[in-house]
Amino acid sequence: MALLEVEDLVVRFYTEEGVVTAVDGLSFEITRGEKFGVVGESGAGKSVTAMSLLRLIESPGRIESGEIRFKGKNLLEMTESEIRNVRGNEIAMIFQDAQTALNPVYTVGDQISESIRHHMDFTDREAKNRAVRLLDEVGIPEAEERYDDYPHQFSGGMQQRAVIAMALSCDPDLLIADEPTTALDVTIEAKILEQLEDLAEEFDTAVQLITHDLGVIAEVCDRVMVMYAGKAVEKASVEDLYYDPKHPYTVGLMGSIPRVGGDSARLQTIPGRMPDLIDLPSGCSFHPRCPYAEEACARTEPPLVDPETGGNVAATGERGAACLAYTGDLAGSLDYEVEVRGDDPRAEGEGSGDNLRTEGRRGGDKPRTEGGRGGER
Amino acid sequence: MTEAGPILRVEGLTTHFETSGGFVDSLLGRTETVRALDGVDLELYEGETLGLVGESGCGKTTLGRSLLQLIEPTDGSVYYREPIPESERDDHDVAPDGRREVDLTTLSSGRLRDLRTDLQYVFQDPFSSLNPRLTVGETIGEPLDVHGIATGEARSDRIYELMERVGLNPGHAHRYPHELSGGQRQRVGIARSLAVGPDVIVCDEPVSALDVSVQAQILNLLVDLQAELGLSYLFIAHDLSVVEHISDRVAVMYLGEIAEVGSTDEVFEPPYHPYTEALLSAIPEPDPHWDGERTLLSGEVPSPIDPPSGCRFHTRCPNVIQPEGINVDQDGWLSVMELKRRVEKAESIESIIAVTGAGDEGTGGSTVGEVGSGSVVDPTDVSESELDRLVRAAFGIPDRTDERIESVLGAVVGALQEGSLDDAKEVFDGVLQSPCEQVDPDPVETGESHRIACLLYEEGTERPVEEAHTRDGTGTTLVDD
Amino acid sequence: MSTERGRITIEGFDPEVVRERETPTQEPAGATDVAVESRWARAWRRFRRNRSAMVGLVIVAFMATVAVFAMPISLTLSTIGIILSLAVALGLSVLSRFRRRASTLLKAGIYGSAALALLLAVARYYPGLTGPSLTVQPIQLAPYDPETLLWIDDPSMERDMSPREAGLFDHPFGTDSEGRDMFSRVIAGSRWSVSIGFVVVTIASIIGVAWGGIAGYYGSLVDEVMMRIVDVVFAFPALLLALVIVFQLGGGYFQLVAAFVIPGWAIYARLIRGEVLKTKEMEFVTAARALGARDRSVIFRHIVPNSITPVVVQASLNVGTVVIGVAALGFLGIGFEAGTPEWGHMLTNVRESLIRGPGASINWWQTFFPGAAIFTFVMAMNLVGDGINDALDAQEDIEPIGGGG
Repeated sequence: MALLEVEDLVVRFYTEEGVVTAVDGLSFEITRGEKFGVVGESGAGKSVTAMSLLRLIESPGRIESGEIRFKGKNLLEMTESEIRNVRGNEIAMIFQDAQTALNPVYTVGDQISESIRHHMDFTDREAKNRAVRLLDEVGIPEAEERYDDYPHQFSGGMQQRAVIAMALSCDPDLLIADEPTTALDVTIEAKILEQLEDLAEEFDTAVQLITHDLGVIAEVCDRVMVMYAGKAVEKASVEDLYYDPKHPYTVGLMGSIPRVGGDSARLQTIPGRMPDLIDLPSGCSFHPRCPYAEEACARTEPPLVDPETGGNVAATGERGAACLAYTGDLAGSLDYEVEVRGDDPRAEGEGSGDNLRTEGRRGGDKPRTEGGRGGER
Repeated sequence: MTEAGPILRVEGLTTHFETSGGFVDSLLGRTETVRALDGVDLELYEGETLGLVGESGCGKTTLGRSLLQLIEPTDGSVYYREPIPESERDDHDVAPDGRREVDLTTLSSGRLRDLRTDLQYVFQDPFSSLNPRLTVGETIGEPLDVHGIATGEARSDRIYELMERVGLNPGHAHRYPHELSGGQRQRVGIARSLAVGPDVIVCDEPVSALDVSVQAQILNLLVDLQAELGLSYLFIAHDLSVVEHISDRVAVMYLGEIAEVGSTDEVFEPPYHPYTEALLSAIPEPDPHWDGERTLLSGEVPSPIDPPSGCRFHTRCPNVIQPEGINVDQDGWLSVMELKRRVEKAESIESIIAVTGAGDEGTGGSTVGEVGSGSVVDPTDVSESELDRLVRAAFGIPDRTDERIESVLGAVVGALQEGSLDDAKEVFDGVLQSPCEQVDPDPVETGESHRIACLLYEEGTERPVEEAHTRDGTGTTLVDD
Repeated sequence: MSTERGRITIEGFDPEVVRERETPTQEPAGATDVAVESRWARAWRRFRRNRSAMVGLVIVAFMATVAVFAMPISLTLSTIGIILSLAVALGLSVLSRFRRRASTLLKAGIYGSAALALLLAVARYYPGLTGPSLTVQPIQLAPYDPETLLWIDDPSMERDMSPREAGLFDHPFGTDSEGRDMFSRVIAGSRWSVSIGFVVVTIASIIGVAWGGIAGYYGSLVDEVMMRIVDVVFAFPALLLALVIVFQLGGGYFQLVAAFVIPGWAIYARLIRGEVLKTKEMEFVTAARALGARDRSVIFRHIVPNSITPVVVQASLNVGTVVIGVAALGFLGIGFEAGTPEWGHMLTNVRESLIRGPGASINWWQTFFPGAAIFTFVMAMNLVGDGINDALDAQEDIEPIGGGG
């Protein structure tokens, strides 16, 4: 049984302008100690998902349906006090803006200790010691001194580390990090990410990392879920996602990021923008922007299926992509290539020589290497 | 590059800000100076994109704004090659590009206003750079009104034309900013700056606030516009991948100074300024099998109010040069420097000797004592040799170093053991000084257009041992003179 | 594993296919071409949905109408002339805001009418030319003249008659101790109270906004000096200051206006200064300057419209405060002549009669109706003010989250 199992989560916001379906039938799972990435652009529903896990959704939002099973128990059915017990203790969350997560009128150390005292049965002294130790572990120098400092005396990177310390203070089983490094400089980001990885290893904490930065995902995560307009459009291991993306949106994203040392002079773009969640397109939400879309795409909403077999994998943690190309309903094929310069690092030791190509293909077809394009558009 | 020279040339640009608690404080002289820019030299050539990178607090936005005189620089000059009006063209001294140099810092406000049709600015935040009370059409039309470029029908036509050019639907001209998405707003900002037909545009982080796919659209738009209109861009950003993609030349800034400048290829490949090296290695690569080594910098960016002496980067530089005569393992040297800095900054003995510190792991705290044990190590309680051991363990200083270092360490430990912080500070005063601490390096030519402001590349400077560069794992070698 | 960057390249995802596919009518989702409204229209729509605010607005409108039509209004020709020319000048200058460049004709119109107003005002006092009086508003809603002591003409008229005694159709609010009809007095009194509220607030806000705007925009020494003056004004208890001023200047309408404007403008100055300081730092102001816009243009086009919201809210709430202030002074007998049907003054007349010996009856109607009038108006104005606050406030928060498309 996985540590966290989300099944068919639906979250809606009832606003003046209409009903916004922020999350639409989302399912995924995270195993113990795993680093799970959630990628998507703004409006995709990543943050709403995270907030739902801790039942932090407030009016006008509502968790409509679905189950969130954490260690077997459904979080959505817990009482207020039970869920309060889980928050911070077993599931901790860190947000993008560390500054707003820290209360400016209390010292940093106090805030960490408070969290410890609240959840664990420590004396004041024990809690303080643990807090100091944590501050040190997250890489804050002179931790004993800094314990008595106020948040504004910390720099941005330090604040974020303090927030991480706070989150880890009660030894949670799952840490949800919502864009933890987006607001930080790249050199600080590198340090924080490394710290996060080390700490996750050491404490055996699973991490759900939410971000739009594809570089960060590649570095930290083991498995990834790509979200678009409130739904999961692809789930894969991190290697598969970057070397063998299946969903057209993922392909588009991968092609639109500027890469240092990359060949392209012009970035590939995805035309248009993410649809308004009040008024989603019919069928596949991505079809108005997809170069491979056909009539069928506007009619049927594709389920999350295994690209090889076409079987529905929505509720499992297996590889899946939500595209009609893999259910066999698409007439044409997905016409794209992933080129890798030099040796393919995936085929370690087997040395496949020249540029390896992976092409999109119809569900059911065997993968080709080094060949012409499959099918017509 | 035309023979006539760069279209925009910055010389010794310096901008200092006064931080004040109010009028009374400035009367009493109780203000601090933020040295946001200190003696910056740059060139922007016609038709090219010069990328300007740096992290927060490095002064890049201040540079962009000081350039266009939106902030008044404290010192220095900004030379712009303005087009010579037809009436004055008969002078046989006219340069081949039909322009002449003029110093923006010396111009009257009227002349400057006229030049704003040539020099424009695109802002970072699409949400706050548009007046929420004006429609899109009014926003784009404002520059046309200010400079009397077009009125009536011609004006409306120009507005629609601009909107189409940047990829907006002209039918949206009556919309308000809050009804547009981030990318659309940014396009409005770009259209607004294009309205006057500029030659140079300073783009201040134009895509940082946008989603990935939108970012790509806007970047492509900027590139297309440049090709179509012959624009020159100063592209300010903190995202190196974006800068590498769009720029012809790149300048790297740190704490108000230019650390390195050159063509994109030159900057992104060795030889590096140590800061550039760290910056480049920190970029997360969208490739799970990428295994590059990270050069992590210690400490935080110092405050521009009190920048470090000499080379501003020396407090965090992994390649800081050892003083003459000293030749130890670079790691050990860095640890000693760390101790020195800590002692110099400490306000009490406790901050050097306190409870916590996983000193053996080398991460985070370099303090002496046992983690979370609740016991404070009182320096006067332990023997000198025990204190010495603890200090070395905390800061990662090896047991045996150079003679000079040993004698200094001994004196410091002795002073701490007696409980005198001031004595310890005195010990460090003026000794073991790295040249990086004393000299602020001038840019050194290391390539065709490549300049690095680092003592490592200056002729006649002591070079640290080869080992210094093994940190990055790329096995780079130093440039030899 | 490799240490080379940028090894992966994606080919073949062609956005052109999508663009060719898109027909002109097919816009990206969320970009429907709904008729867009200005921010005032938006605010009005919000306001309309607020039921209590609408109730307040209706009441205020009703009372204002009653104030106008309670008694006939006669104005001298010169006064009419002044008012008309000022109105024309104002109207034309508002119109010029909508035009890009104020044409010379427009400018001539504005200056011309302002000059005319000035001329007429001067002529009024020196040499005293006022022209004939015209009855501009002939309707009289009040059944009786509010100031006439009725019992003089009609000895049968009794004083201190309660509404029940006097008959609800004759004197629905009863009569007061001088035999005057309460109903007429209350209706006529609305003219004083309602108008003074709006007049004071208008003048005070104009002064305050100009003061605070300059202080905020220019900053440093100018700001310090100007705001310290504001602080001095704040140091005085407003009502006491008004009292003192009335004592100095004597009673009368404009004297009362002055008495409330002098302590009243300070709050607007402070409010707008704060907003200007905030707005000044916004990027679009820098953007305007980067375009080369002149200071004047930056202030009026960019800064003021974005700073004015709290001032509007404060002004609408302030009207009620002023009315209460005037009534308070009136209750103490200060401000107008005795007998003036101003609501506060009407309460004065009853002051002595409030406390009576045992067995005496209390003339409740003499306090109740003026008091109720004050209460109703101020309450309604407060509801309107809250409604405006909500309507304008909510607008500031409409920011789409994220940087999509």
